[in-house]
Amino acid sequence: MGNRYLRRLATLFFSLFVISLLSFALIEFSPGGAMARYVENPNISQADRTRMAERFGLDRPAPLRYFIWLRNTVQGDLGTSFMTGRPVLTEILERLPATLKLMTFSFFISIIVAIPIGIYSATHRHSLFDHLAATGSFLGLSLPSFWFGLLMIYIFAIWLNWLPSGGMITPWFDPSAYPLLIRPFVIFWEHTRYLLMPAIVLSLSNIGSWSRYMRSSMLDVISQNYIQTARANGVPERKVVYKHALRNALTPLVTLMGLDLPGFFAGAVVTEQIFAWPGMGRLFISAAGNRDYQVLMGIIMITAVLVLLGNLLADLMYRFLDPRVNYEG
Amino acid sequence: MKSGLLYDFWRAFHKNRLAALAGVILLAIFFLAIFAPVFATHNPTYIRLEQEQIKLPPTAAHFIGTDNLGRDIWSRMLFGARISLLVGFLTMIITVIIGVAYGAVSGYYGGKLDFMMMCFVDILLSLPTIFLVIILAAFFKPDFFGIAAIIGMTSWMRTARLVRGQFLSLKEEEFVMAARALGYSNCRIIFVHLLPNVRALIIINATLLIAQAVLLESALSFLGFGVQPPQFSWGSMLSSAQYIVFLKEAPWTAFFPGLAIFITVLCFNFFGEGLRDAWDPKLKNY
Repeated sequence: MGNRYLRRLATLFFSLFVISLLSFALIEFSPGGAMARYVENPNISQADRTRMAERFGLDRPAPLRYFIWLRNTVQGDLGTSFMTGRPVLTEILERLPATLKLMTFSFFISIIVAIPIGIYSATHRHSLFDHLAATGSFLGLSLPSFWFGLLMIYIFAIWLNWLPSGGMITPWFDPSAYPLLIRPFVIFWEHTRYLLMPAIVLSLSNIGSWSRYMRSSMLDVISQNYIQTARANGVPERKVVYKHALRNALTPLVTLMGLDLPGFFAGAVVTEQIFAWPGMGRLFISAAGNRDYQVLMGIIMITAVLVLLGNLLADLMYRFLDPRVNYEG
Repeated sequence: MKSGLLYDFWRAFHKNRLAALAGVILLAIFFLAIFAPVFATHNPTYIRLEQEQIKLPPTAAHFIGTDNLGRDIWSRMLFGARISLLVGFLTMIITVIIGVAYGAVSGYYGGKLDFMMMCFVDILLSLPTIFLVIILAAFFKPDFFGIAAIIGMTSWMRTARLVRGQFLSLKEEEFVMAARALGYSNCRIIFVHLLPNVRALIIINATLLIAQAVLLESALSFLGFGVQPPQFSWGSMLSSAQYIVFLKEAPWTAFFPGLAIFITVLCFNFFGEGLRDAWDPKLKNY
């Protein structure tokens, strides 16, 4: 078993290596180069650009720069941002918590909504609810998230004025202005009201696919012999569903969640842009516009690490939920 | 007893009203897009900056109002449909070509080659491809064909997996052994003998791919990395609504193009699902 996780870990590092090589090559072979954004600036001459490129070490050949980048990255140094001159790792770590906060909140919304819908659809197959849920999941998967986000902003922020249209927290928010007794609730609401809309937008497609998946996985389990046996033994239906079936129906969903992680990060990029959420996705968009190579590479690598670790976690969860799984061999 | 894909398709769509309706709506959208100049009431790129011409709410002269540059949104939506749909179809074609070829080779040859090829697919799948798409789109500043190429090149992996899985099981069938015994080349076996067996699966997948491509292109254009002016798609029409002030003053400029994307994507999804019901009862969730 230890052997297996050693192999998983080796695969993880190999994947990271391939991803870094691929992204580096992609950025490198794109036209223009890092200094392209200064070309149209009349105040910056060709000589200036050459000098800047030298200062950044961009005059060295690409393979050499890749190895320098790789060496530094392995040592935990992702380089310096061309735009701000600050370490890339610092820039990303400033933004990462916001993204993770949004994703975690959205993840829980997805689970809380999708799993009960899936269970109910499966146990009441072909009922009106089941059909509505099926249609609803199609709607969720087809909704352009940015359009849905704009609609929500228009309804809840502009029209009803219930929720803020963007940002993560009110800059002048001061919890000490409230009585001690209600302070925790004030803090909680302050965070939640900013989180609510972006998190819902981000969870939309997950709810669509996870609820359908939960339904079919539940149906698979329910039709199995041990469930029939439990029923035949007079176990109440509620107990059959929630005690006997649920755990086994959840296992495939865990794998799907792991596989959906990249899509989750992708969705966060768009969502953060709509709601001015100060996360990693927005950093990526501005870095792409500014050709900030180091930041782009940094974000791709950090995301890749998080996704691969997430998959590893899903794998562990799977084993925990379903001890039958044995990977010897 | 009649049989064949087309017959199954006809029979199933007779029963599946929703999928049939989706098909009809899609045809109507294609029709409007193809004959955009006929249905357009104004020149879609004609800018009028007079105060009484910009951000007009829907009126008789402008069915769904004008945008911040005084352009007629209805006419822009008709022409925008062309780019959105074209990118969707082109992306689908590129994705299918790459995905099917990759999956077919991987599944047919199997063994070490298959293992390595699928390793690569797994690695690509663990990367949020929107990052690569944004980088390429930001650096290349492509036209609509370039965008289709970029999206296509980063979204073929699932198709490849699907085809590979089918090929893995199909190649063990007797007709493949017969073909081998007859001395046919691998290339012929792949394209003439095996590929027709997965055509239903590929068409279903292709329909869903168009839906995804339309969504991704519109998101990309919304973010400002997609179709660049003077070209425009539904997605780029929403781009200016990122500014709250603008959304507040003229919500219709964001609402209608977005609705068009939503309906189109929804119809492709429903249609694809209808095809799946018609051709592949095994895949149905009970």
